[in-house]
Parts: sequence; structure tokens; C-alpha cells
Amino acid sequence: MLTLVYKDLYQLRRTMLAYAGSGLGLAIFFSTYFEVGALGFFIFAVYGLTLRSAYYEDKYNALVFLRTLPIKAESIVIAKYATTGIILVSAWFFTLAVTTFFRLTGAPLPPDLLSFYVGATVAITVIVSIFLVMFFRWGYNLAVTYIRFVFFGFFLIPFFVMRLQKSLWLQNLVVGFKEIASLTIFPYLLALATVGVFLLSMLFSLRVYTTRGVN
Amino acid sequence: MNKPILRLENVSKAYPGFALRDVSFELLPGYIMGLIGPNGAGKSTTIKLIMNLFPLDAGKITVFGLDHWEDEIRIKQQIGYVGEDQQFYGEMTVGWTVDFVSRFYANWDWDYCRELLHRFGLQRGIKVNHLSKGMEVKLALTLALSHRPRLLLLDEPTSGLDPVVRKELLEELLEVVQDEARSILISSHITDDLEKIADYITLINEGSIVLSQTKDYLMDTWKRIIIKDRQMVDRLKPWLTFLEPGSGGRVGYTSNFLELKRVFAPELEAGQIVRENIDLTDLMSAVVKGRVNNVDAGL
Repeated sequence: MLTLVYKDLYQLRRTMLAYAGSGLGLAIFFSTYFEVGALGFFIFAVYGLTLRSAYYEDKYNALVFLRTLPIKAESIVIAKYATTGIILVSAWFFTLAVTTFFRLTGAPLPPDLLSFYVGATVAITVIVSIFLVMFFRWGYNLAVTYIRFVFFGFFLIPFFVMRLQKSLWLQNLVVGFKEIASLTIFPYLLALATVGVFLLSMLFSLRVYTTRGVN
Repeated sequence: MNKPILRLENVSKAYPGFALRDVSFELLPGYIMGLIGPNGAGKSTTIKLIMNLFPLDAGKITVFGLDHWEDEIRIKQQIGYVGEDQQFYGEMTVGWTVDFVSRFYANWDWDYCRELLHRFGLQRGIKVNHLSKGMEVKLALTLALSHRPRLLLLDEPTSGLDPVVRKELLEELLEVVQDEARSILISSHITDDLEKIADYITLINEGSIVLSQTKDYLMDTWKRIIIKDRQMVDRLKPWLTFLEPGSGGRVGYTSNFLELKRVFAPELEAGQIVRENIDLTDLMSAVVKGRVNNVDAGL
């Protein structure tokens, strides 16, 4: 399985460098203002790298190639999730490090901004989890078509929240959410739920990929 | 009696518009079996099922006496597979691809691998998507042979190759089975290739096995019969699989020439009927047409 993860990362090396370069460039150019823009960079980097990794499998019909080798179907799925996990963690640390480094004040990131980072991590983890299930079930092309709706749909959430702020039930929902969010254990619960979504998605992918076969 | 290296028992698989039904055959160590049949007959599906690329609907496949589902990894350690279309990571080099594949096999023979790369003129530094179709097949064959597999599964490996490369490839395959513990299952449209190398022929049509015999037996029993005397047609019908008009009389195909020769010895001697040897293309054509049409077709 490690060979498969290494293979994925090796294939992505140039794309990773390109993202890292553009991240650094943006940070140098925008300096402090990059703090917020970095969230977008982080989300696009994880989204782009995950799709790129799946694209390589699709372009060369490599899922068939891998299945002709002595590799369990389960290992192929788990390796892809491991690669995505590595992408997520690396992009998170990279973005955080670059943003902190280029802050003009030299102070660590404020808690509010940090919570935005956590929120972005949760959102992109959910998106790539959904994408991977669709990729293993229907292949790259259909998965990309569907995930675009989900991905760009996430950006519409603030818009809908603003539009619906007048409705009482949404206000109650926001108040309720704020109460939960103020709990000390909330960050841990959120992290746990995110990992849960990721693992659940992997279980779904294992199920669909091992039963559908490749052609 | 040797134990079969590969055994399929009543294997079935259905797709929308196509079904493989009750496919059964076995392959003994040291033999080459040719899988022939028209397009869409189920040859590739059969090989892909053996490779466990998708699950069976019914039946059982055993390879080296092991269940192909439960012992998949142990089996694949000893199988070499070459598909119709080669699926490698195109932007990677030959060397990277060989290194990558080698990591999955416990008994990868690097000396043999290097020898094959050299023999096939494959350079490690060249990118896979810069290889010609023939060179891609050679790379696939190098990867399939370098772990010294006991069973080679080849799905239309020679289609799209020029005669020189095809000849080279067939020679390599013959060398592989010199060691009598190894076997090859090869599907091909190019029946000439199979005539040169196959010991057994299995003909598959519309998802079912039509015949599975030694090539020599098929060549002895299947003959083209030219019926010069029109009066003979009705008497010969029970022995014929297919009958059609020909330039020198009616032309039929029999799958039971040994019996026909005994019954019609005088007529054969008198030249009222003439027998001709057929090749695998004729045989496939006769069987496929014979299944579609009745014996009066074309008269």
C-alpha cells in the first residue's frame, strides 16, 4: 500500500510544487491580506490535488492496470485515501506556516482566523470524501461533474445564510449552533466528526469499488 | 495425470445486452490454449473474470488449485497478464514502470527482466507514452514474464502489431512454455498465430463454449467437403455443420470427418466428394455460421 501512496505523491510532485510556489507568491504579494485569501488557496489546493490524483488513474485507465497486479482492491482504495489525507495535512500546515510567517505584526494567528481555517478544513474534507466515493463508484468524469455542484455549492452557503437571516427558524438554528460552538469540546467534536465523515466515505468506497469491478 | 493449472466450472456473468453462460474448461500445465471467437463472443470477459477484474454471477474458477476470489493475491503472484490495450502511467518512464511493478512480486527476476528489456530494445529512460503500440506490448510482456509466472493470460496481445513484432512475440511465448510447468491462455482474432503455437483451442460464441479440444484433434476431424455430385447432398447432410454453394459444387463443413470417411469411403475414392483441410478461421466461420443457419442455408 505504501508503494501506491508513494506512486500518487510522485505523480503529483510537479502539481504540488506549482501550488506551493503560487501559495508563496500570493503570500509575498498580499502579505497580511493573504490571511483570508489563504483559506481559498488551501481549499483550492486540496481540491485540485485530489482531483489531479484521480485524474491520473482515469487518464491511463490505471485502476485496471493496478487490479492486474497482486494488489487487493481494498489496498487501492485505502492508498488513495491515505494520499488525500497527506495532501490535506500538508496543505493545512503549509498554508498556516506561510500565513503566519508573512504576517507583518509577527504575532500568531488570532483565534477567529484559526477557527475559519478549521471550518475550511472540515468543508474541504467533506467535499473530497464525497468526491472519492463517486470516483470509485462511477469513475472520474461523472465524479468531477457532480462534485463541481457540491464544491461551488459550499460557496453559496454564506449567501443563503444572509438571505434567510430574517426567518425565525434559521435564527434559532444559528443561535443553537453558536451555543454548541461555544462548548469547550466543540473543536474536538468537529475534528472527530470530520474524521468520521472521511472514514465513512472510505468504507463506502471500499464497498462500491470491490463489488463493481473494473473494465 | 497432471492437475489442471486453470479450471473454470459453469462460469456465468451477465451484462446488459450480453451474457456469458456456463463456461467450463481446463488448462493443463505446459500447454497453450487459444481462445477464439467472433467479436463480442466473451473471450475478453472470460480472461477478465479469471483475473478477478469483476465478480462472477455464478460458477467457480480455480487457478493452481486455489479459489480465484479468496486466494487472489497468491494467484496473481504467479500470473502474467497482457491485455488488449496496455494501461500504464503514460507520463512515467519504462524504468519507473518496471521498478513500480517489481515491488508487488515476491519472486521478481531482475536478471531476466534486464535481459527482456535488452532483447526487446526497451530503454529505461523513455516515457511510456512515447512508445509505439508494438513497444508497449513488449513492455507489457516484459512485466508479465519477469516474475516467471506459471500461467500467462494474454488477451488479444498481437492485435494491431506488425508481422515482425508478432513473430517475435510468439517465439518468446513458445520459449516460455519450454518449461513444462507453465501454461498460456491466449485469446486472439488472428487465428494464424494460434495455429502456430496453440495445443488446445476453445471456441466461444455468444457467451457459450462451442468446442474445446486439442488443435490436432480439431484439424483431424474438421474438414471442408466439396460435394460434386448433387445427389449426395441429402445423404451427407447429417454429417455436415454448414453447407453453402461453391464454385466446384456444394461446399460443406463436417466436424466428424473420421466417421464420414468410413461411411463414404467409395465416394471419396471415386471423387464424388472431395475433402480439404481447413484452418482455424474456416473452423470458426463454419461453427458460427452453422449455429446461425441451418444446414440448408445458402442452397
